[in-house]
Amino acid sequence: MAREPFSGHLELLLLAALQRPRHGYGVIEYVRSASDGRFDYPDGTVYPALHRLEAEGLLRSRWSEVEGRRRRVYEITSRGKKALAGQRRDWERFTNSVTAVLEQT
Amino acid sequence: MTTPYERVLDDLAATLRGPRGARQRLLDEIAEDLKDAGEAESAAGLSRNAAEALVAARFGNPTEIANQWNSDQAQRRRSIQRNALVLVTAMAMAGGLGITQYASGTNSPTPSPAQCMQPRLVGSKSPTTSSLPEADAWTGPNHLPPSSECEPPTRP
Repeated sequence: MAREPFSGHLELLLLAALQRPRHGYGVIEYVRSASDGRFDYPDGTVYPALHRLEAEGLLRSRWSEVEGRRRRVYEITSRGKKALAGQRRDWERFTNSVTAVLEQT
Repeated sequence: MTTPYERVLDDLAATLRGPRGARQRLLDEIAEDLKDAGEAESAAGLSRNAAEALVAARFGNPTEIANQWNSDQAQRRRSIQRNALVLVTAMAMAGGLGITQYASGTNSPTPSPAQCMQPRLVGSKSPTTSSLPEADAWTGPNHLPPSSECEPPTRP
């Protein structure tokens, strides 16, 4: 299956994935499986983005220990939920516009 | 001999810039996640070495990832510096405005009782000022506050 470039939508995908608390690798796995393997990009790319979103107050994180394994767990903040809602609206507007153009050809 | 995970972490550590605590947190977080990913691949049937090699390859180029992180850190630092500059400028302007207002008398202090006790020059020509033009009585060094500030409160 062809890979899709998602760098422009990475923020939207991460915020959506973190509506449930997840650690970095969990986020990568979620995005990969939810997109049916289309968004299968270098795992390391999510870390700078997660840290950036946290610095902007859209995510928060904490260390969590599960079965003796430490994990940095991220979750969306209320500010992040507002940003996600806004980005979701923008995305829907964009896809509706593209569909409208395609249907006229 | 270094493992694939150690190579990834060493390359990252060599390129990362920014606050030490933030860098260490990122490295700790990635180290734990690499182990998680390796265990998942081992559970799916790969040998330990093969799982580690696969996970390290899937991680991507550590230098590129560190550069992205460095760029975000630099941008954040610039933003903090800009905000601090705006705050300092605003405080300096507010202070300057306050001094200017005080100096111009817009918000001058209440006249002292001693000032109110002095004879008024305005409205009555004293023998010393009678020979001067009327306007000079307002501009001399003995200029007094308006009479209303010195009058006692009226009783009902």
